[in-house]
Amino acid sequence: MGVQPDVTGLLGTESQPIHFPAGLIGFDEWKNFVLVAHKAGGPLRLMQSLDDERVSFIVVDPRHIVSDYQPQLLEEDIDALQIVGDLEAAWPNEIGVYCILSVHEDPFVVTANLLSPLIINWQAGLGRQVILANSGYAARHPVVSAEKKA
Amino acid sequence: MLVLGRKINESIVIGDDIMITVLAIDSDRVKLGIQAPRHLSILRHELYEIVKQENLRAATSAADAEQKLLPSLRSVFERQADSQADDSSPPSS
Repeated sequence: MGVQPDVTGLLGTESQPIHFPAGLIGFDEWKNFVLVAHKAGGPLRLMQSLDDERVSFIVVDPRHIVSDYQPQLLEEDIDALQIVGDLEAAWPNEIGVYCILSVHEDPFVVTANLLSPLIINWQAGLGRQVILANSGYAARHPVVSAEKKA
Repeated sequence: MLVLGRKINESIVIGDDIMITVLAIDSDRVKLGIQAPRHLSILRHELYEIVKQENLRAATSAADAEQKLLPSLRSVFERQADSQADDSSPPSS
């Protein structure tokens, strides 16, 4: 099981499968994903659904967008992810934090969902989309806006 | 929608595994306690809707982005990496 054949020739290393017991918010049927790197490196990942090959997301560690990003997880989240110990210390090696990017083509606009990141416990193979309800982070944090297009 | 009236400390059971209890009632606000299996997410509805919509938006945009926009997108993060003097968050494997 894995990502569909790489027709683009762009895909690099594929992660272990990650199980999201609660799925994604609003889409609880999407419960299993892999993260795929780009062949040429860089922080972007393709998060590919193993339940529906049409479903994929572009994700990135939010510290590439907001360098002091601090997700404050609820007890239920920590419990569900089986996280032991300090998240900051475990990030990014034992715990992965990713935010989902929305990419619009014309005009070229990219926003990041910093309000509800994906938290991955690599050791347990578990993931969860959490909502940082009182954080002040935006669901559409601008990454690229049309005016700044190169 | 099923409509039930409950007083303080009264509860509602959904299926076998979900219980909602009225803990307090203010003038315009009710405080609810919710017990549910931990694989279920419990969210304020307005937040749920915002995130659901954003997930959908992102999922539908990824297909195009992968091929047409990936070079532009990748260069955005390369530029940022270059300009960050202190790269304290190394690209994860």
